[in-house]
Amino acid sequence: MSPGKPADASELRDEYAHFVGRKVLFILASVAGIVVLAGVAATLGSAKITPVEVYTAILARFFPDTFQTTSFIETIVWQLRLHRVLMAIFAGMGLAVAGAAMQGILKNPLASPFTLGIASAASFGASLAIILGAGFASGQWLIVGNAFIFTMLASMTVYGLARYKGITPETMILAGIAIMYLFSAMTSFLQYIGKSEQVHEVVFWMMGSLGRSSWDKVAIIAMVTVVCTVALVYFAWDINAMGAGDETAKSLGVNVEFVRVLCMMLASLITASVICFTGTIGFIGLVAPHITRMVVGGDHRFLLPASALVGALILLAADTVARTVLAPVILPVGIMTSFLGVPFFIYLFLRRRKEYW
Amino acid sequence: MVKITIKDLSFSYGSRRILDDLNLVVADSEVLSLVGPNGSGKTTLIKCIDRIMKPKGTIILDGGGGRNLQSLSRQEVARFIGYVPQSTTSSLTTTVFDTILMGRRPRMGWRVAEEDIDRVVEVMRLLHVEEFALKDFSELSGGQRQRVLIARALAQEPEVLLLDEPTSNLDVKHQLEAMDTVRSIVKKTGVSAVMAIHDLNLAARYSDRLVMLKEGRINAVGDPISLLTKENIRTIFGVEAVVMKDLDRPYVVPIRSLNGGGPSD
Repeated sequence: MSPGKPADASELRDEYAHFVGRKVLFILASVAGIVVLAGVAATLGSAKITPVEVYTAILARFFPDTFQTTSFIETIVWQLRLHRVLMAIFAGMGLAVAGAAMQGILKNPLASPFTLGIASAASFGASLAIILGAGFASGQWLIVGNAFIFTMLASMTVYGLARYKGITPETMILAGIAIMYLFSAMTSFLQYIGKSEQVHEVVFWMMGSLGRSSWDKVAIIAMVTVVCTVALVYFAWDINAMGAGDETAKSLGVNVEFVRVLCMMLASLITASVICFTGTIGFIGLVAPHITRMVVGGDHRFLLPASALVGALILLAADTVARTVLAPVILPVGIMTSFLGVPFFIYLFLRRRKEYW
Repeated sequence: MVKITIKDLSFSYGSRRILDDLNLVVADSEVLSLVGPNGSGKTTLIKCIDRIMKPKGTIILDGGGGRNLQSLSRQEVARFIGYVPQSTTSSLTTTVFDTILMGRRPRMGWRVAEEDIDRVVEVMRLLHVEEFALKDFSELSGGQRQRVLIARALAQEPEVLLLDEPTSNLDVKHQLEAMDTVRSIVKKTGVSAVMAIHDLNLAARYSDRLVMLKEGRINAVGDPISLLTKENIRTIFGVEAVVMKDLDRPYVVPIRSLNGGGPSD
């Protein structure tokens, strides 16, 4: 045995408590970061207001006796900016948690809502609505309803295909990739036969945008994201065990197939409810979990909630930059997430010597 | 005393029968080694006992009022049986501490209790892995990984340890150390160990009893000295061997394969 530092029981406990404490600290710091960034984001725009005015306007809604604001500022904050800020936060959370969960249950660093065909199914649903006007809902819900239903349809199909060969990471990923190419081809076909302004709208939808946000949509996304995230975190131990291999997980008492399918469905549900409103915002579902894993490690009890917070930070930052950098032109946020996130990701990736996956 | 009684156990992959009507008893505090050629069903038997694969037949646990393992939930099985996989399996990043803590999953809720931490620290000290508690599992050497995986299984507080080829990726020194570890744990804690193993000499030296498997059937069961004979090795493995004895343990020196592949002298 190699000589190391002597570790007695209490020393080991302290070391572990410290190790866990660091992760909790990261989570708290991320929450603080989001609160600050949200305030800053709400100040930016054509009407100039200060962060203090923003926070006062927010607090005035809840404690009208203590905080006073003007109706002008109240309108700007509550009607124009805050729902978009919250949409960025919850959409970012949802996409990141879905990605982290999929990477965990499929034991694959490349798994994300995109690689599993979910996003391309959503694009197809939206294209169908935009180009042919056909779909499962009507009026303003046509695109949203289509995107949602095709997304869930795709994940059911992935599950159905994988069932035949056993619910393993490999079967699910292969089935997901097959579905992705199928829906991409169908979307291309629709674009080929569509009129140019329709194709333009499809392309714009696929870039992802928070421009269509509203309080109703924020409520839906927030509810689904929070409920599903709590459920996924509940299964964190099982996902951890599955990371050591299906056989080991079974030997530790995990109902592997059930947990894998359930978590996959939860992740799909989150993704579907986010991207049906925002369009396909790429990158976050793939990279927010990686960034988080480099910092807090692979324990899903911490990785899932921390990824959600990192996802929220990235999307909020990206959207804020996207609507201010070329103001009054507002760039699609999907473009911005990659511009901002990729250099940061590469920096972390190069800086870290240890193998983290 | 008996830990596990296996009755009429069969397992098939489609139409291919891997295990055929096995009957076997695992006693208290014994090291039982499964030996046999590739494809004889050693690893499958290990996985069937742990219900990783679902066999036909009955596996009765002692101490559970004669409960049939087949009727228990995975969680209940995991409190009774600890499984040590071949250490080649890759895993996501986890520290050694978290890897062993995972062994508490069958016995704890979502929150980690003081008692769970205590148990982890205890098995870490038992297996001498405490100095790399917060290292990543993937950074460890083969021998260290093996010890961590055994520690994880022990954190489950099992009655029976199942080991799948515990020495397969280790050098000679670490092979001996791994077997020493298993044997001393069995004798110290009273758990029983059932292992699938290729190396007849290691099996002979460290086991109380051997089970010889061939084509999914049990060919012979007994103590190493009566089982590892020239004749048995010829029938089971198809190998001509010299068997020697030292300190009441047999030594097998394989000479040549009987179906012509080996060098002739």
